[in-house]
Amino acid sequence: MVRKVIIALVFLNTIFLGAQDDGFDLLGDEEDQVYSVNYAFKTTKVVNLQSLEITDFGVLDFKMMHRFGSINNGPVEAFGLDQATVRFGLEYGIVENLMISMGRSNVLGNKNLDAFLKYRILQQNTDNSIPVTVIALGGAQYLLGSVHDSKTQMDRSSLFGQIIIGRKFTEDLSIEIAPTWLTNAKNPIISGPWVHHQHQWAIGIGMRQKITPRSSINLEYIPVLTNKGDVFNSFSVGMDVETGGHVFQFQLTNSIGLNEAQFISNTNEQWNNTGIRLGFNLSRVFTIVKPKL
Amino acid sequence: MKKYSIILLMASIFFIGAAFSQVYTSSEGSIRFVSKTDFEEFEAVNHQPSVAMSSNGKVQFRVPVNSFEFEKKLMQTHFQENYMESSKFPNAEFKGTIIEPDNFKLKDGKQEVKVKGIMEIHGVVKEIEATGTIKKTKNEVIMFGNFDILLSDYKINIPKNNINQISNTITIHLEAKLEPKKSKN
Repeated sequence: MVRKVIIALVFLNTIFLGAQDDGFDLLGDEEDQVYSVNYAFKTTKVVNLQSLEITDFGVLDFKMMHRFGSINNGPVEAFGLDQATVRFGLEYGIVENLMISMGRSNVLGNKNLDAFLKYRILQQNTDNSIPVTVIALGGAQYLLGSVHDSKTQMDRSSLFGQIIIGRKFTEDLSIEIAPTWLTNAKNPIISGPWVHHQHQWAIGIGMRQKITPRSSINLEYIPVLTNKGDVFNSFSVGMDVETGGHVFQFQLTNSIGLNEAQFISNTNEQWNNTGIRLGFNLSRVFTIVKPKL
Repeated sequence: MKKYSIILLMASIFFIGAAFSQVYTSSEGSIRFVSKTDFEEFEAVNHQPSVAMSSNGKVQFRVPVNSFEFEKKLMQTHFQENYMESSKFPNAEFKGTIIEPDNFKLKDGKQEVKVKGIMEIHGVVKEIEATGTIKKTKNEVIMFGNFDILLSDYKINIPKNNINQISNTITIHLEAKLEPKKSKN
C-alpha cells in the first residue's frame, strides 16, 4: 500500500516537472485590464458634424475645409468648381478631454468667425461598463462685415449646444447621434429673406465604416426638427483617407456652410435636384507640448 | 525494498522542492523601444509591463500594447490602430529560460545572462534570444534586458511612404524591479 502511494507520488511528480518545463506561467492569468476605446473616427469631424474624437492635449490641428459650388450650377460655372467656400480653423487640446477650436469662413461672400469648446464627458471602455462615449459641445458664430451693420449684435450671433452620444461597435463601424439646440441668426444671403433670431432643435446622425485600415466611408444626416422654415436637411457622404500626418476627407454634400449655424440651419439646396457639391477637409496635426516619456 | 521506497520518496520531495522555486514578480518596470533610420529616430515607453522570473531561471513578461506612450500622439494613434492593432492583440508576451550561464541559479550579486524563449507580438509567435543582467540584493531583483526584433517577423507592415521614418529593426530595452511573490493564501 505504502509502496503504491510512493510510486504514485513519484509518478505525479514526474508529470508535474514535465509540465513545468514545457509551458510555465509565472504571471498567471491577470485580471483583464479595462481600457478606453479609442479611435472611433479618424479625425474630429465626420463630414460637417463633429465626431467622437477630441484633439489630444498639447496637439494643434490645422483644419482647412473647402466646398465647391453645387453641381446644378451647370457648365458655365464648371459644375460648381468656380465657386469656393473656405474655412480655416485651428483646434487645440487644452487639457485631456477638452479642446477649443477657432475658425474663419467665407460663405458666398458672407464672412464670419466661429469658435467652439468640445469636452468628452464619458469615454466608452473595453468592458462596456461605459458603453458609449458622450461629448458636450458648445459654440458660437459671429457675422462680420458691413453688410450686417444694420443688425443688432444679437442678430449677428448664433449659438449652439450639442450632446454627441456614440459608440465604436466594431473596429470598423462607429455610429453617433447628436441632439442639437441652436439659437440662430438666419443668414439672409444663404436662406433668403431675413428672419429674426429663432430657436431650433436638430438631431445629427453620423457613422463611419472603414473600408481599409487607413480609409473609411462616412455618412451623416442632420434633420432640423423645429422652426425649419424653407431650408433643407443636411446630408453628406464622405470618405476619409489617412496618409502619414494628414487626414483627407472628401465629400458630397448639399450644405455649403462650414460651421454648425450654417450647415444645420442654412442648408438651402437639396440632393433631389443635384444641389450637391464636392468638398474636402484637410487635417494636419502638430505636437506643441511633448509629453515626458 | 522499503529502503528503496524511502530513497524514491526523498528524491520525489527533493524534486518537488526544485519545482516550487521562488518566483519574483515586478513592482515596477518599463519597456522602451527605439526605432532609428537615417532620417528619423523615435521612441516609445510603456510603464505597465508585468515581469516575473523564478530562481531557477524562467523569465516572463507581458506588456499591454495599449499603454505605449509616444512623444507624438499621432504616432501613438498609428501605432495602436494601424501597426499593432492593439484592440485585436492587446498584449505582447515573452516566456523564456536563461541558457547562459548553464544551470542558472539566482544568487546575490550581478549576473550576465542570456535568455532564449518565445515572443508573441501582434499575434505572431517567434523564438528569440536576449541578453541582460540580473542583480539580486536581499529583498529584490533588478533586471535589465536588451534585444532587437524585426517588424517583418511579426507581420507588421510599414507602408512604402513611411519606410524612411520607421526602421524594420526595433531595439527594445526592458527594466524591472522584482520582489518575491507572496503566496496567495
